[in-house]
Amino acid sequence: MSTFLFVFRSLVGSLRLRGALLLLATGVLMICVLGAFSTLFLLEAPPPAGTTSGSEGELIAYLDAMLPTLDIEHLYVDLRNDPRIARVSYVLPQQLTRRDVSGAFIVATSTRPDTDSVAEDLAANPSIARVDRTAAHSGALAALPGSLRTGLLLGLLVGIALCLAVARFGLGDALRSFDGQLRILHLAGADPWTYYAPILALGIGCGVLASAAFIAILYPIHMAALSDVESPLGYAQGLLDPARVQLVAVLTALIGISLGSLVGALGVGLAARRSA
Amino acid sequence: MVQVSELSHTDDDGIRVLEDVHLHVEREELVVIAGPAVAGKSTLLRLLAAQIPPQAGQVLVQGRNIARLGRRKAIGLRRRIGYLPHDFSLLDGTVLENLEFKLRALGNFREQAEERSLIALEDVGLTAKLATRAAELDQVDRLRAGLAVAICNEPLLLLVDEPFADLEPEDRDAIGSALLRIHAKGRTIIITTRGPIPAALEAQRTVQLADGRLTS
Repeated sequence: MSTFLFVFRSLVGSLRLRGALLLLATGVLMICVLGAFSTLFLLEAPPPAGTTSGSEGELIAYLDAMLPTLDIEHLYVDLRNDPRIARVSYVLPQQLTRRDVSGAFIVATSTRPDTDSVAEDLAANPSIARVDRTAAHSGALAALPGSLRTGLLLGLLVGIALCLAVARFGLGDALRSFDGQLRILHLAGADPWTYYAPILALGIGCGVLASAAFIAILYPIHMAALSDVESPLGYAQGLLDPARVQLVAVLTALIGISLGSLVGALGVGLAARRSA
Repeated sequence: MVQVSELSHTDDDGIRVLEDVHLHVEREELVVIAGPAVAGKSTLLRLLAAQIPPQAGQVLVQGRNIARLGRRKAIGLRRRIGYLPHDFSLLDGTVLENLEFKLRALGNFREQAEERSLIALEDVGLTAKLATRAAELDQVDRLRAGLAVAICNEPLLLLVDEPFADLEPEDRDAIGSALLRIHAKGRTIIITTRGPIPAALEAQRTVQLADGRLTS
């Protein structure tokens, strides 16, 4: 075991219940911050008064469970070449919670009136098990009004501040229970980074775990929304867009790691003050 | 091994703790610095251990001026100094775990750490209690364990602050004998004390520190 892992294990092993609970609370607050951030990203702003939410219609066509891959590819090409269709994206069966299909196509029509004829054509195709219209089609998308968006943004900032404040107490407690070891290392002439690095890693670890937990929540929600677009989850258009969900997952991972690094840096600062 | 010249130090409250201190300690020598409480003994040891930087004067350890060392070299030097402060406390866990923590954190492998720990425990006469929890040790054995922690990474210079304070005469002799055993292995040792010097150490060089000034 490397020195880093040994000191990290000693640091985690010396945690008392209070410190562990405070660090857990830090992680939960990080998940809330990531939730607020992704809500801002996944929910659209409401359309201007007197207009509907976009000029396109949107459908989701679930493919027959027994459909061979080659037929899926042919169907995709046909849809791409249809002048009534603006965009097509394929959803893997693994991205859906329902198991009776071999994937789905999210089809955005060029104009709203085209949607009905495209839906009829798709429903008549024996390769397609079912066709659903998304909330984007009916214009009933869940939207975040400006005031709520501002509130969420403020909540995000307050969440970050609260997260750092709770982390400060948690790390303070963790360092108090690790005080004896810090003293030995200091007296032994150990390089301060012998204990700074594990403290930094503890913070980053909190951020990574919070991001992983958030992504582990986000993807099942995304899959559930895609599997049943007429459910309440289907009203959040961002949740139906695999690319956007993927982008949110990457961004939340980066934010989680950054927030964790900030918490770790706070811990390093506290340790430096303690050993001085 | 240690060369201190014109060393002066003022504490945070503006009180002059050390005044023009000169001290020369040869390699493999054992020196006792005796003096009353608040004479500046602990400050002198902290300066020698490179725990605090000198404000005025020079401190040379192994020929190196500790005030002029870069970060990396200072760390290297501090690793060669074993320092047992008066208020040192052991970690929860067994005596062996205490030693192994220090050695593993300094980069030793488990087997190497165990081997070095056993040698250090033998030097201080605590091998029989290596599996005893630190909290269950009596005052003398806690001190022995502290000495073992200080010497387990085989430092060339050992600094021990007030090891005999609050000890019974027979316990003082036991600790004095343990220090002599460590000294016999070729280590330079500087000990401070405000009480009587144990019989085992009476033959060693003693210097007096009073009001921040050192006298032979």
